[in-house]
Amino acid sequence: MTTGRTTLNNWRVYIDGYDLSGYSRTFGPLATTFDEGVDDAVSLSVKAALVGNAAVSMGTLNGLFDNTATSGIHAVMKTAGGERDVLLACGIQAAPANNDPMFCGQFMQLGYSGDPDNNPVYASIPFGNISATSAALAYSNPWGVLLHAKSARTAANSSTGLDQSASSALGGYMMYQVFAGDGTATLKVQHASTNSDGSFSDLISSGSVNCSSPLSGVVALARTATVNRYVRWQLALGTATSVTFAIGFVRGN
Amino acid sequence: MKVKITCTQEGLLAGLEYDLPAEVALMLIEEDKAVPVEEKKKVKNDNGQNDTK
Repeated sequence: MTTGRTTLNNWRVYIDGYDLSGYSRTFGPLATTFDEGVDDAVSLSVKAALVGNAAVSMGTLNGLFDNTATSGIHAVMKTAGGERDVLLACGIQAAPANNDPMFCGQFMQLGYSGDPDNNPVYASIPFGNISATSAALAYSNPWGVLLHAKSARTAANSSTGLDQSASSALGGYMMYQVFAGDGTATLKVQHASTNSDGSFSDLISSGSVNCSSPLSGVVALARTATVNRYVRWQLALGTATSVTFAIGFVRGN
Repeated sequence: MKVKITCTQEGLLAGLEYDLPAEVALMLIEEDKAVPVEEKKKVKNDNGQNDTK
């Protein structure tokens, strides 16, 4: 993983199994905020907040209108009012690579509007906070690591994992985005106390999913689940021989 | 049969261990939604001390 500064053109936008990066111009602000209590006095040294009750938001996605059948931004996003699985991958000085930062969540899409006054025509898509039905509702932190950057895989992962410094017992969650495939497969996050291939065991699993069409999802651990120090992505092929996917993982804190 | 859930099911949270009926546990393992938990056994080491493995 490269470290350092980056620019907007190194981000990628994945929603519900579709890569909308080629249509997206801006998004944000990516926010995690705690509301102050209405009765908090200015003299309070620490403003009151409910622990673990942050409002997480990804702001508004501004894109370029495109009505390409099935995969264009208009076809994918024209129906507002539903929950969207959003994964924003943050490449550092290049396209996102494994273990780069990422922001993810299941957000309510509040609207969809085109702006024909501009040329090209813009599509504006505002999002609300984390959906009340999100599998990761118990987690306030949307920032994690992109364990697997978008790419096609045809075999299981036997590499070592990412060192996250220490184990924790505060759970975590996985978001997976499947862009293409030719059958069933299971996407996983594995963990280990020792960073060697044989030491990893399954931590979170999507269960068997049909990768023949785009799909996405979040699987959350219990808030007290133990996550060992090292984590990595894993793919178990069912009937599929190739799957193009991305996996983000957020360790609970 | 003891398993650790990896994909949340109704009433079964991912990341936690459950003692489930064998047929349910085996079905979840088959579907890649759980992993078996190895029971630790007391064994006598060469040095005569008891240990768990």
